[in-house]
Amino acid sequence: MTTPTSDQVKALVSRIPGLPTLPVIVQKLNDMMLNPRTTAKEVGRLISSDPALSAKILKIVNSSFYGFPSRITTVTHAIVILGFNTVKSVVLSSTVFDVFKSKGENEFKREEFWKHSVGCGAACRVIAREAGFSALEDFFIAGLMHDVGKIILDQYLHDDFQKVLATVKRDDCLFLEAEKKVLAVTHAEIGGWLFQNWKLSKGLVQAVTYHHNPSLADDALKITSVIHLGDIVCRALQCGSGGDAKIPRVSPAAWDALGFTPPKLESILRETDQEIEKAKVFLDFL
Amino acid sequence: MIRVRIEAAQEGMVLARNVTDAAGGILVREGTALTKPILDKIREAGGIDEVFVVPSPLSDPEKVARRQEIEARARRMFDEHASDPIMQELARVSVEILARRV
Repeated sequence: MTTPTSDQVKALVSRIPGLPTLPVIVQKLNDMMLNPRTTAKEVGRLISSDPALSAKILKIVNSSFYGFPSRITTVTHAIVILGFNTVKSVVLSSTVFDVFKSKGENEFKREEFWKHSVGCGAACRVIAREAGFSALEDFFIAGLMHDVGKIILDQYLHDDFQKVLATVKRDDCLFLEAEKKVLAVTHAEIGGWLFQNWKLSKGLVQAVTYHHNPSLADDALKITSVIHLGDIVCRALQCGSGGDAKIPRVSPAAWDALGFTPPKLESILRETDQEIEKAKVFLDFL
Repeated sequence: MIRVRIEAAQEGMVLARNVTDAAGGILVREGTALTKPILDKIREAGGIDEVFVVPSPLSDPEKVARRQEIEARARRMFDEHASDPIMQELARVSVEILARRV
């Protein structure tokens, strides 16, 4: 696998003091999941040790996003019904908001940013299903966090971030294009680097790193293509904003990898539009 | 409720009052969405110059403005991709979905 961390990214992130760490509970959960003998009860006990987190999880699993017909009342019950993977995703997605707490108002509207992120997660879930994938929750997470590099920039390299935003405004261009002009490093690379540091899956690292350039994701092309298209679908549906008002062109390599035809877009967009509404439960944690 | 001349009544408008014939008999009930056969029926009955319909969403200035905003945002995104069939299909479907939601 090619390493997504270029020297420029290393130089940039070396200026960041004390990067956010992956929440301890997610780390523990990851370790537990590696052990095939871990039981639902053990995982339930770990999550239940954090009452605020448990409440969030129960709220999400009982929302129309999962559409489960009867009420799920305990975390262990949620694990048994929805599976380890789904619960792990819910834990990860509900804690990511805590890691990157909202800051005061500036040009970059965090609320709009998270709306775009949640919308992209919802779009990725729909696209992944259409593309024949089964671990749909992983795609929700990847979509939700695909732009996390922008938050890193805003939070830790704020002056650079402001320069990028000013360039977006001046040139009416994509955030990505402005980054290339101003920083020579992109939010995608920074996000990928963070996830690599957090030891998240290689697929997720590649998907985040190459979501604007899927053809470079040599061994995760199809996964990355889902995130690439999810971002574009979410922009087309005008859901939130990732800091610019433009839309990138769908990469031909991604389109081929997914094997879609233009009429497929219609069902993807319609379904995503409905799924976005359901996924808004995640925004309650902001 | 707004009054519309029968010549200006269009398919999709929803009746806000019953349409009655000269004898007071109900031709079409309120709440009915006008279709071509229903419009023909009203016109053929004769003597009916106007109908009352529910204000159309299209006539609400706020909604018109919102739709224009959606279309403007879409143009800003998609105009530069005019030669790409996938992007054009994305533009067409997304604007249709968003405009309907208004």
